[in-house]
Amino acid sequence: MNEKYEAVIGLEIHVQLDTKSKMFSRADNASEMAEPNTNVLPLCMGYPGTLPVINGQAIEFGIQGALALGCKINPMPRFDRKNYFYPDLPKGYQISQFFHPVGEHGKVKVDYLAGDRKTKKEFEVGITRLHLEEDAGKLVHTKDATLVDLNRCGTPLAEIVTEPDIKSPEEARAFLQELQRIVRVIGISKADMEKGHMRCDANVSVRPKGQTEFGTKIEVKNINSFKFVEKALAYEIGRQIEVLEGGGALEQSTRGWDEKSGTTVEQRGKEGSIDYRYFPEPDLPPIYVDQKDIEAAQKKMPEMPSQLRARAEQAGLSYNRIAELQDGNKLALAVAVLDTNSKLEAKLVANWVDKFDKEGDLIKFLETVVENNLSATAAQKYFETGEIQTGTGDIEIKKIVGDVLISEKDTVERYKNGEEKLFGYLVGQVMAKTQGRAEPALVARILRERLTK
Amino acid sequence: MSSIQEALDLGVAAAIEMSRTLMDEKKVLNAVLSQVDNPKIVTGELNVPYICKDNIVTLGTKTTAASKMLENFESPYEATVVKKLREAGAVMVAKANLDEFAMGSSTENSAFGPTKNPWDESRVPGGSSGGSAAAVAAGLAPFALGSDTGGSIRQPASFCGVVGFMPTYGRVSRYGLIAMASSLDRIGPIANNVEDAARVLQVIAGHDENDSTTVDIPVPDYTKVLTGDIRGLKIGVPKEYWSEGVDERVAATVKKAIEQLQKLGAVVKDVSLPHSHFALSTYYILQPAEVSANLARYDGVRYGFSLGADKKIENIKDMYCETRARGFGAEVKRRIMLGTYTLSAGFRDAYYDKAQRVRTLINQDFEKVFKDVDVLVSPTTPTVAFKLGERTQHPLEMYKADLLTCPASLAGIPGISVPCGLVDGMPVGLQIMGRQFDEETILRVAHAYEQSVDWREQ
Repeated sequence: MNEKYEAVIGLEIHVQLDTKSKMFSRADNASEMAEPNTNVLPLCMGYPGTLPVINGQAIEFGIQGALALGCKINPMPRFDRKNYFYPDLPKGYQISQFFHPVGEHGKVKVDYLAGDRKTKKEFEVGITRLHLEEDAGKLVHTKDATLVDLNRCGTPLAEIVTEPDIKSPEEARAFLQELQRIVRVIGISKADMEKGHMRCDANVSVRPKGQTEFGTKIEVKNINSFKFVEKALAYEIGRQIEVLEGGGALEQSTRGWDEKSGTTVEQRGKEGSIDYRYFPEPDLPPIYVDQKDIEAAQKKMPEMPSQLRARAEQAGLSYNRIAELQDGNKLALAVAVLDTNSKLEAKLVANWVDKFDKEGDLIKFLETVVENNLSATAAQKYFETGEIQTGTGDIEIKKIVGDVLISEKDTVERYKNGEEKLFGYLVGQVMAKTQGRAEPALVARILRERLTK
Repeated sequence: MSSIQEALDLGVAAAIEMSRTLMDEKKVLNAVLSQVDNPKIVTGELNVPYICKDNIVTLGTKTTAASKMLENFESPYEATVVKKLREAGAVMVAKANLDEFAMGSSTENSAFGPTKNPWDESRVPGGSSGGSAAAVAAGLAPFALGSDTGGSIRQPASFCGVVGFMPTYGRVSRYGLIAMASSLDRIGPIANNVEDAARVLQVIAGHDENDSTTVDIPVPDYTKVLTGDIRGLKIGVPKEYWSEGVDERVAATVKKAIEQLQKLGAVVKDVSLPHSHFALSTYYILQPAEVSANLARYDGVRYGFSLGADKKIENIKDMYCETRARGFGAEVKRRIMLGTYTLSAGFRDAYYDKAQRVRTLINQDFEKVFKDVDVLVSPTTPTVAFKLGERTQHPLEMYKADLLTCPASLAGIPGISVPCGLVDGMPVGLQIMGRQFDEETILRVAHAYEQSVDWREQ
């Protein structure tokens, strides 16, 4: 990125809520694998006379999501109609929340492992709002026709809008990954980007460093994987800088990320912007959220990923190890084990946590390793066979070392007289007597102890 | 058939047969759009034939909303009110004509031709429930279902000399009513007398889990309150309801009815609803706004009229435009355009938002006045039924037919129209409005009046 400029990024993320039924009807919300247009009730298809009914579970999920993002909960959220024509939108309007969203004014602190896989970086993102809405259907483009599948119509969505606090594609990705972890840990979404459970649009602008006014905002749509978030934003930032450097001007517009060409392509200019003509949804009364509902949701709130990472650091895990374990979904287990077993070394726990799913099993295993003073090799054998190999413990090695020192008296003498390279030979002799079962480092340590006596 | 009791006495099979014969005989009225073949009969307290306005979805018949857009449309489900009536033994024998998507005050906006007033076939029956009102007035069935958004039950009832009842918003489920303006639409009965209206309301009222705007409160026994005794009841006469545009002879007829209520022992009081003059313009901003959204679904993609398969159509935008241009009639398009405009960026403040605030003021007027009086009375309409074609070229004149009915619509309060006399041989309606969810008092007053006079002699 050109050093003269800085990027300003805000994200709009749609998260599909993993509720039992749809946002406003009893239709099953699990229609991913269903045949097209089979998981639809008259409401999903926009039949005349149908009326929406709010799914209480979706409201609960929305409140939990908003709380997890530090939002203030609106005491009386309500729904509005967002009007536009599209074949995947059966009613000709989407029921959304424009005037009174579930939550507003949140904040998320993100810490993440930088691209160098060493440095811990931190930043903060303001959350403008979290609001609920219904998903639209899907268009399937074939060679000679466009087909409409309405199965997805009415799937509950939480739309999360951030403040323009994100400064780089790397941060954008880190925020999205953190958001994914948050919605997963509170259990409101599967949040699989590849499956469209989580979809992201970005508002991007650039400005010369030091300038306080924002540059011209351009919306980039359709960034539907973590990889593309970075790629699309990097491309778009570069493109905007290039236009400005070339003496050109940017115009407010909407662009789409094109995976094939690796570029963003203009979809509509400022004139093409849609007037959604929002107005309150008359079919749905306002929702009353009282302090009790909020407290109940707070009580259900599990530990946030950032809190977990902080505990992991306190327990002595290195940050890159924390990031690895987090990516492999093993951080919570590692921290839980470290929390209850202070005598276990953080590194040892981190080395073995991948192989276990149950806390009890891992603890039992590690305790055996420590009690028997098993080497890494021995521990691996124990893990594979369930048997503790004798003859490789300290005492056994000490005995073999003693034997070797007697049988190799001459070599010992020469070593003591300065032929230090003979140390390796002595280690080899001990190893040979253990049939290679002993941990070389352990052998070396015991041998050195004896030789310096 | 002049009452539910008469139909019950006939027996349901004979009543259905009579209904069919009459429908064939009175085809000239064009009150009915389609008849139900071999309707299923189950027993119940309301075991009589009835006619359903064709903007309420039913199974086994088409539901057209009197629009070319839904000319061949069959609903995959039925409305809550239809299900409730079926379970109570009522047998739907036909679907009634209406103004297209219930937009109009004369039933002349039907894509399938206007309905004629049984009192004078050169006159309109009112609208939009004109088919329902004409059908009941002509005796085709002992009752019909209508829908009221700005006066669409009360106004045609008034024009046809029958009883039309609009319950409180939230009292009767709208599930299955093809939406026109969702915050105003209500379903209610049209019948020959107040007791029949009460009997039908008894069946269709109540909370429905499919309509979140219905209120979960007990439904009282509506026929029990029809005692004829209104002594001491306070009746307010809003002074704003007698101003310009109200025919003097209509006003005089209604005043006579009010004197009758006084004779029955009610205390009559002059009151004021100061924001009444803004009601019609408020109504004609909010209602089209909701219309513009509610009718967006008729796009030719999933059901109904479509030009999607037309060879000349090259893209989705053309399909939308052509389908909607040719599928909708002029009044529907006028309201979609008005509503789209008043919700647009830069205009919403001045129109939609402001109208919402005025609606609140109108509500407050009613709340205030109902602290002093139990019901309000006025003419239902400024004039008696006008001639066919008289107002079709003057939309604003047509809208004025809602002048006295739309305030109660905006306020969500219940209202009834009972016939109270004749002007030029045409019926005049007395409108009685009441507090939210106090349908009982309105019915009681209307019934007491009805029982105490022969309205045709007034």
